[in-house]
This record gives sequence, C-alpha cells and structure tokens, in this order.
Amino acid sequence: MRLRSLIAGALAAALLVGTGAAAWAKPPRRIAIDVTVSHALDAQGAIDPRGVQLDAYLKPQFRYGGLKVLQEERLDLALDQVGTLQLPNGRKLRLRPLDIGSEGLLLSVSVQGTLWTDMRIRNGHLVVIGAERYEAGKLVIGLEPHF
Amino acid sequence: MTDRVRVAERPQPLAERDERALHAYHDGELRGFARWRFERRLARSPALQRELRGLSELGLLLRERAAAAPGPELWDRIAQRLPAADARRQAEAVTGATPWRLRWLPPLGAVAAALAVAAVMAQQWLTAPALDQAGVVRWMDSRGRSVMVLEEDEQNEVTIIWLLDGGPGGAAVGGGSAAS
Repeated sequence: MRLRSLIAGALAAALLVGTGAAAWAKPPRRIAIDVTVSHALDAQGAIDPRGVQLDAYLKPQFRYGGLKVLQEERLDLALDQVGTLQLPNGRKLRLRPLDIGSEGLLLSVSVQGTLWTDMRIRNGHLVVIGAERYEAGKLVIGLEPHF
Repeated sequence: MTDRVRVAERPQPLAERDERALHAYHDGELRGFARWRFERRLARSPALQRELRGLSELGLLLRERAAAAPGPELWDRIAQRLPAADARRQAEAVTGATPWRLRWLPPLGAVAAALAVAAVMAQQWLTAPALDQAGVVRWMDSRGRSVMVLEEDEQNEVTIIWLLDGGPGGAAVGGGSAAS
C-alpha cells in the first residue's frame, strides 16, 4: 500500500514538472503583419500588378491616376513589441500588437506626426490607411495581420 | 458615403518632436542620455506628463476591456464540464450517501448554475451587437486633421482610413482626388 502511494506520488510529481516545463518552454505568440506601402498618383499612370487588389478596393471610393507599390514588408512581432518601418517620405510607421482576443488583434498603429489609432482586426482582415501627400500623390499603407 | 463614414478630430496636438519622443519613451525605445534628457523635459512639462498618463491609461483600459469581454469559447468550456457534472450527480444518486436534509442542495445548485449560464449567455447576446457596431477602428488621434473611416460592410471586405489633406469635398466618391 505504501509502495503504491509512493509510486502515485512520484508519477504526480513527474506530471507536474512536465506540465510546468512545457508551459515554461512555450514560445510567446507571434503576430505577422504584412505591410504594403503604395503611392496613389494624381497623374494618369499604370496600376502596379502588385496593387491590383488594393486598386479594386480604392477605385470605387477615391479618384487617382495610378497606383505604384513602393514597399512590401512582413513584420514578425510578439505582443507589446514595437515594429517600425521607415516610409518613403522619411516618417516612421510604428505597429504594436497589444492583445489577441475573440474579436481579433488589438493593434496600435501610428504614422509619425500624422495619425495614431488603435484597431481591433480579425485574422487576415485588410486595413488601408491613406496617410498623407507624397510627391504629387498620396501614400497608402495596407496592413494585414496574421496570427 | 453613408453612415459607415466617421470623422475624428483633435484640437490641440503636441509638437511633432515632443510626440515622437513621448511615444519612443513610452515604448521603452529611449536609452541612456536620450532617456535621461527626455525625463528631465518630462519632469518640467505638465503637458507631456498629461499625454504620457493618457498613453498609459489608454493601454490599460484597452487591455482591461479585452480581458473582461467573455469570448465565444466560454460556452465551450462550460459545455465540456457538463458531462462530468452529470456523471458526478448520477454517482451520488446511486450511492444514496446524501443525507435527506441536504437533498435540496443539488436542485438549488442546478438552478443557480442554470441562472449563471443564462446570465452569461444574456450578457453575450446583449453585448455582441454593440461590439459589432464598434468596428475595426476603436480610437484615433489624427492631430486635428479630418479623417474618413470606411468600415467593412457587405460590399467592402476592407477597412479604409483616409486622411483628408484638403478642405471639405475631400476624397469621397465624386469628390476630390486621392491627394485630397
């Protein structure tokens, strides 16, 4: 009887240690954010093949001549980690995932000197920010988080 | 542009240099001398202190709100425990070990559990539409500039935030250009 108790106790201890170690070893959750920076041109021009989908979303709402994709980056961030991207106009785009819940990712976004916003975004949902003027056009930033 | 368009404005923004330094400080990006120098400025400037408090409180509020909201997985967790609770009740009924004076406890517990589940479900049912209406954009500071927010709807599966550089008549359909 005593031996059985000892074995049971040892098994329970091993289970506890194993569970604790597994929890300890669990890596922090990562969030990949696809960032696309495009230039919506005032003058008539071509639509960049990489910007066809964006053009389809923007065309019914806004008027512009052409669309050129300038940057495509993927930021791999942990919660509360700040990701920074230099925009073509020299300003910084800063992204900070704050929380992941049933409604999606709570993401803090700031375009230096222009805009600061917090958004709750579903997995794979596209958010487009028409930021500010840049060389006879407007900078357009696309954000698509995956988590 | 219909009711899915919202406009956000802010009257008195910080200077751009201050805002940049404040955000960097808040995010822990300032080190060494830069951090020391900003902390000196912070100690002398009530406006900077107020903004920093705002940043910190906002982060806390957003986290609390996210943590307090019951997720759809709550019901799944409750449902997973129900078979175990049923089995335990059946085992107790078979052994008949419960004294007759305490036999009113299980029905009372069941009623309490049912009320608790109903309360949780009612809360989810009541809060879900409000959350849906909240949209993607939860908060925004556009430094006094007008912003158009086009939330996702049946036709558009994208959320668009558009800063208006020009005057009214901006960038909506039939309005100005992308540069406006």
